Amino acid sequence: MKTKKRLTILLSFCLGAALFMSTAFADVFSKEGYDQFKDAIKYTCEKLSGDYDSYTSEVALSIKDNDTLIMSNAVIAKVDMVNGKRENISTDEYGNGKKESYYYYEDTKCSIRKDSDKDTYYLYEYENERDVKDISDFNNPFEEEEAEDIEKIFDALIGNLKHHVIVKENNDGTKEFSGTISDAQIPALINAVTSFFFKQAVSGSNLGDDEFIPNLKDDVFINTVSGNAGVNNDGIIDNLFASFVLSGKDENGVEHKLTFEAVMKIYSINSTFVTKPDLTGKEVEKDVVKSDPDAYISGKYLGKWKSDIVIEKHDSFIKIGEKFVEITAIDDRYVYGKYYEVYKEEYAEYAEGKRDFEFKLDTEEDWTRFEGVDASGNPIDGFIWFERGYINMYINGDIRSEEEVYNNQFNKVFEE
Amino acid sequence: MGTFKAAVINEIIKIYKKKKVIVAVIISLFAIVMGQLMVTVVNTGFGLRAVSGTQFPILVLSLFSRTILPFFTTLVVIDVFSGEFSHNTMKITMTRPITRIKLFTAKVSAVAFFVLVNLIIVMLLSMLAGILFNSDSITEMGVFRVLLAYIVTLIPVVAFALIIVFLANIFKSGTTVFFISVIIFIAFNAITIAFPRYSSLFITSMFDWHSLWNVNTFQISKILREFFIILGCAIMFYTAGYYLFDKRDL
Repeated sequence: MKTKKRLTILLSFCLGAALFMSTAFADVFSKEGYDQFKDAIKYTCEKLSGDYDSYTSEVALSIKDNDTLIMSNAVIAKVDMVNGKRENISTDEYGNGKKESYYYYEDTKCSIRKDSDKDTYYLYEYENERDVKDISDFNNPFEEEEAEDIEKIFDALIGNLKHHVIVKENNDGTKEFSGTISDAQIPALINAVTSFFFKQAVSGSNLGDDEFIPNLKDDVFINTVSGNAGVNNDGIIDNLFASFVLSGKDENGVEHKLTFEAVMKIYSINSTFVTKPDLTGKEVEKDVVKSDPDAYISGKYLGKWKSDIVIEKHDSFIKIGEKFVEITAIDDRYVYGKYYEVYKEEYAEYAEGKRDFEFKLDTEEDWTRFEGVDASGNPIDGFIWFERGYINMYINGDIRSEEEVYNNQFNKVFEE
Repeated sequence: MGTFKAAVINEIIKIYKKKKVIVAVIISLFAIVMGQLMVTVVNTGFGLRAVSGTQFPILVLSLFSRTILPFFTTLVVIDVFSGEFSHNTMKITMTRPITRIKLFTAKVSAVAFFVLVNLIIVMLLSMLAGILFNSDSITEMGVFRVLLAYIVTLIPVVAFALIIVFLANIFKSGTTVFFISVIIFIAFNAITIAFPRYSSLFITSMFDWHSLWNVNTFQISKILREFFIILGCAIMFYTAGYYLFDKRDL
């Protein structure tokens, strides 16, 4: 009897332990709809950023107030990554029926723009042919350094909401994700923070000439958030729909239901062709884009550039000295120069800490940023802009007395 | 069966006499009032309606199920087991014609009953507060969701109580049991936060499994998995607790 009882106890304990361990580990290693959806997003970004030759994407956004359209925007983009061509057609539609569209074409040699309300095509030809990669650069956001941390924070914020993502696997290898959350299921804190953010940032803002989002004052809350997405055989998300409904009352106590919707589609993968528009017989305005900065900074900038040092004292402006920028040499890559200040003898007290240094600009790295070293070996840096006919120079950490009138424009000193 | 029923009633009355139930209810009421006050301040101050009438009980539950409820459950378990061991009143209970397994089960049932009553009281109070302050958004579906969320919370909390029962049968002193329980509770929560992936291994992370029930489409597989985790944990500690209770010299 005693042994039987012990055996029962042992058996029961083992049963419990086995049940616990097996299901707990199954749970640890199982991927919920939310995790699968995240994987699909990552995979899609990875594929789009390099694996495909071409694709067409469609993104449409709309904002509705109680089912009346306030504004919508749709962008159809065709990207040909092999030949370095892309085309965007963006269309805006407003509540009053006004429609605007905008065309953009780009390849390695030129870009073309056109607005729907004008017949003119704006053609910008590049002086130097661009790299194919520059045209179709879709940077995978998950390859950024911070991506992993942001993902963790996002997961923590989402918390139990992840249980709302449902995944359905079809026999043909495609997957469908869907989810709907209504206000009673959204954690109070998330609802409060999001509603408040929308109330502050979005409500009341202008969208067009006479379209604006109603200004919600009271009882603002997230009504529903829903969405669905489809994953194709290849494992990428080829269609996505998301909707976000915010409810609230405006200053007159009228209830509003703001619906924000987004639709995204990706199709014609590896079979999208982008053709350059035929501009013959069309009204064209042509411009050449100089892609080489050296073209701007030429020998004409060599020489002395001067600016007066002026203070404001006893209700008058007094010149106390002059500051000079001298461009001494320009070669294929670098611009060399000197900076110094000269004060009048009677204002010698201002001359304390006056600057005198030589600097160098690396045009291949950044052609507005200079670096230099002063007489006592301290590094000095800042920005310099070669404008048409004058130079603007800004020295980092350049703190002057309050009396001084700040002026960073240097004019050319002409030898007469 | 008659002896078992009598034993359960006996245990329930003993818990009731300890006044802990009253304290638990008063603290719960206080927490609900404070919570509703805060919600009202936020809603009117920022012009929001972040918490609707039926959302409030869920908000209360997600806080209550992680704090006040496990705390009072631990105290009640300690009273029911350690308290009787140390006061030597367990002998009196044992003199009745009842087997140890029935007595053990009766005690566990009484604890489960306490948890259930506590949950129901908090649900009714928070629902009342929700209705009084945000009457505009009560729906039948919302009330059903609240009911479901509160009822399913009973399961993981009872499983947690069984761990405490097990501890109460190992250690003589109620104070020791209490401190070990607190340490386990904090450690489990800390590990869950640090390694969210492995959270299902720790029963405390199941306290908010009611969120799995508060969805539009139930994820049956996930719910079943979590249920079996809780059940497995409960069976293990029920058996282990009983084994110790049975072996104990009084």
